[in-house]
Amino acid sequence: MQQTILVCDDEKEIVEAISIYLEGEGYKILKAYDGLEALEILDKQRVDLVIIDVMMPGLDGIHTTLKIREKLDVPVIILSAKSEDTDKILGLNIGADDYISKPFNPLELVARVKSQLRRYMQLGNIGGNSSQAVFKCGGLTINDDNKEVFVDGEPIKLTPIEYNILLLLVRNAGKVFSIDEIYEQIWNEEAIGADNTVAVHIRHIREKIEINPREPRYLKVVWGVGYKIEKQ
Amino acid sequence: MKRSIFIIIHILSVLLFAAGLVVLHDYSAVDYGLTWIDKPVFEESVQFSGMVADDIHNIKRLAVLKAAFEDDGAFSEDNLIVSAVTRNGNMGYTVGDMLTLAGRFGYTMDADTHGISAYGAGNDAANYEVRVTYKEYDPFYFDNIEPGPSQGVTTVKELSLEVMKALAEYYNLSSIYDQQLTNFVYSINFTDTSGEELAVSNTTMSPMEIRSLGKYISVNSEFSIDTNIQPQPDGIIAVSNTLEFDTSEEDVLNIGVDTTYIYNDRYKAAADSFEGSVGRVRRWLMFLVIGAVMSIVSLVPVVRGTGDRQRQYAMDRLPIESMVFLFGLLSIVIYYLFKLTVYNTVELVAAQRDWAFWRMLGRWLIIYTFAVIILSSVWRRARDGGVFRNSLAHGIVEALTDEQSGSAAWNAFKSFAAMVLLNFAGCFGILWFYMHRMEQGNYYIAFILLSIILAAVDIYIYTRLYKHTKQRASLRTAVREISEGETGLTLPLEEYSGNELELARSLNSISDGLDRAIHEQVKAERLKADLITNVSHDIRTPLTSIINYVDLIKREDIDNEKIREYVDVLDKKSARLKNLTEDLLEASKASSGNVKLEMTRLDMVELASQAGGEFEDKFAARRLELELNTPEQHAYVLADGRHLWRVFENLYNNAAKYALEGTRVYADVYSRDNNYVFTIKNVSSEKLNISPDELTERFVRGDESRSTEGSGLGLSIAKSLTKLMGGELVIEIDGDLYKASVVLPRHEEPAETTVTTGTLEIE
Repeated sequence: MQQTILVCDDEKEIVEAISIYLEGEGYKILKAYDGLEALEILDKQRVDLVIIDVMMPGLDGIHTTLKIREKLDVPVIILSAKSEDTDKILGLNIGADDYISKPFNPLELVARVKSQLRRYMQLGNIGGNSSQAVFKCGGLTINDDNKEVFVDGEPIKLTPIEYNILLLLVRNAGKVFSIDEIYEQIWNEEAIGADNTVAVHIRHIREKIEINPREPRYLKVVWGVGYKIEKQ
Repeated sequence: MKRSIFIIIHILSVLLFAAGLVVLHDYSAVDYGLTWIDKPVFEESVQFSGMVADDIHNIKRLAVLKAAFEDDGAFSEDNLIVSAVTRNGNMGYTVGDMLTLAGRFGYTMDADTHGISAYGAGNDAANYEVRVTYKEYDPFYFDNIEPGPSQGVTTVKELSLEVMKALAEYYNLSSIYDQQLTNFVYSINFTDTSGEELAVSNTTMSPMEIRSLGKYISVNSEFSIDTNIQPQPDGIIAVSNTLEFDTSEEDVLNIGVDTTYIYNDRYKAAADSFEGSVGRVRRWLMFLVIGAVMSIVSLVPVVRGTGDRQRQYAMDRLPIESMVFLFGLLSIVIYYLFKLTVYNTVELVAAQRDWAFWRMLGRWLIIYTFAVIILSSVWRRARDGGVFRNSLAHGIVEALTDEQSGSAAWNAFKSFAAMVLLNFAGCFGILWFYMHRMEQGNYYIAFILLSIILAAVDIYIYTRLYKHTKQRASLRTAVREISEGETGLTLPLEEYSGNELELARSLNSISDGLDRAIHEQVKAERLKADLITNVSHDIRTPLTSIINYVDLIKREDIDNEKIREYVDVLDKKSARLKNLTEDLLEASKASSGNVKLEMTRLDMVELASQAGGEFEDKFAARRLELELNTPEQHAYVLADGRHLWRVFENLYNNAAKYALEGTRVYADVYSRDNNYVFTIKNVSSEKLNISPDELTERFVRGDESRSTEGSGLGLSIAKSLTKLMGGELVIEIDGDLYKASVVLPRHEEPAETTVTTGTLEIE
């Protein structure tokens, strides 16, 4: 079934560019150029995901999202020229599912769209499996029985060491592990001196499970202290 | 250099002048000064006439002594020499008696030199008091002293000594004038005290023969003087303390000096040295004049040439009065030191009559030296803006005429004078009432009342003073607070009075103005930051389209090689533009707004490892080998993790970007003093011909040509972030070796996270 995505931005060219990318991925695109238009479309048609700009004439992105949330639980990705933390927090707090700041990498946008859609469509599929050996953290799922890792339902390939590190962190979500602690837990040896082995593995894990490894959703770096998986 | 020559010349000419004075002083004849130097002949000089006068005086004395000690032209011990009243009645002592007595008291006279010496204790027990009634050797003694009961009272011991001395004098004079061969010829007729005629002479020449000797003096019985000696010697016919002339003879006095000087006596010696001394005195007179002229002439350049303008003389900074006073004092001190030390040595080396001269010369030289020093200072003052520019008098006049300080001086004086006057009057009144309290009952009460009133007034004045002092102290505190950056300070005006109230009011308005200025500045900064933020937001939207469409073009199959190249350029430049807007935003945020600091304890070793992990691929891409060295297991510091990461990220990024490909990059964490230090070192791939300071300056990169990435802001932001966290980022460049160090204070014990804000200062 072809999924429908509503793209809303007052810059026609940006709407057009996004359409081109997403149509290339096989999605059906609906276009709106301000908030009211977007709401109208949402009233009439079934939409699987909304990408909306913040600064728009008429009804802006924030208010539009609030209106959408009154009726629908469709994933909303906010697209904004504002990149401050406060802007992101505001966006996510009023009900958006993701936040992408302009100028964006088209590939990242596509990845995020896919991720949101997967979660939206397949939500509960894996959640129904209530095995003891399954650890979940947001969109991240680890099935320790068959050593499988999913991000938003997508299987991820990890090396044994990467898997063990991730498992350690997910099982203790929220706890910060220092490099030495991780080393001792995974290698079962005492850590001798500073070494970037663990840090390199962590980066590799991040590159595999995160859409944007520089702004990780799951595996966070606590600078100068260690690493942790954010409790979600 | 030139001036020192003048100074030497000046000193030499002053010394020449002084030396001239000394020589002329030595040669000056008493009472006549230097009048003699135009006389080329000794016999016409004042010295000559002075010698003759001295001789006449001595001969007159010799006549008295001859009358006393001689009998018929020969020395006689039997001559009655002293009459005195003793305990045994009137006594007459002969010369022999007196000499015997003197011998008994231990006095002896040398037979050749006639020097008197005392030996042994003498027999003082034999001494007794006498009252002298007559002295043959000093017949006019009693005419010259006041009559009275103690007249002539002495002891026999002293009397005998006196006689012995007179005898010695007799021997000396008669040896000079009668026994030695001399060019001085005399013949004088006296009448002694007993009326006997006494002819004193050392010649048998007739008066005519005496005249023919050369220089002569002849006095006849009429006391008319006939002489060819000029100037005429003094005291030829004066008769005080000597015998009277015998006027029964035709001539009373005939004196001649053989001007051929056949005998080698003092006249010959004087005549010989005279000519030489005339020449010497003339020469020295010339030197004196030259010295005087030259010292005056050289004084001008010495004084005028003083002090180049660059140099500051301590003495010139003093007010002129203080300077003169101080140097006057100094000259007095030095004069006293002179008096203490060399003053008395004069007595060893000079004749008594010259002592005063030498002392005066020393004094004069000291005073002159200081006068020149003071004069030089005065000259410098005159040259540099007036002699009285920094004088006390000028200062006082200025202070009094200047409106502000004048009124201040007057106000201060007014209250001071009022206070003193009041207390003086009060004390006087109290004393007055105290003295009269006994007489009048009412005064007693007045005394107590006045005392109480005066005490009350003084206490009141004190409290006023105290209040003002306190107000001033609080003003001082307020001013200090403002100067230390305190804003929004408002003084409660009701706590102040008088001048302090005025000050407080002004201070409030200054504080207010400052506060407003700061607020406005903050507002302006925020406006600027907002502007930059908005502009960069506005740039982002069109930039998004550019990037996206460039990407879309790239996805199309383009056969045209050129267009592919162009699109590549567009791609790179739009990416760079994107970075720039981000940096710009960062910078404006950093320089205007407050930066939130979440300070917590973290481990620089951990951070260095994490950074190593993050950059592993970037380093690998350029075949860089990262060597991490950490002697310590942990390096705990207090910092904000995200900010410190920004700093590390920047340093690692630089190493990854700018290190020479295929080399090693060294990262170390170690402890130094009270700090932990992280350093990263690499060999630059390009020449680093730039100073470390320039490297961290805003918008400057190590080398423009190296890369077109980044805006160069990173390092300066990193530097100020480190500073904000209480540390220091030091960049060192040694040839192509680039070294960056992050120094942070140690913080071993675990700490709660504290959140503060700070402002970044970016150069």
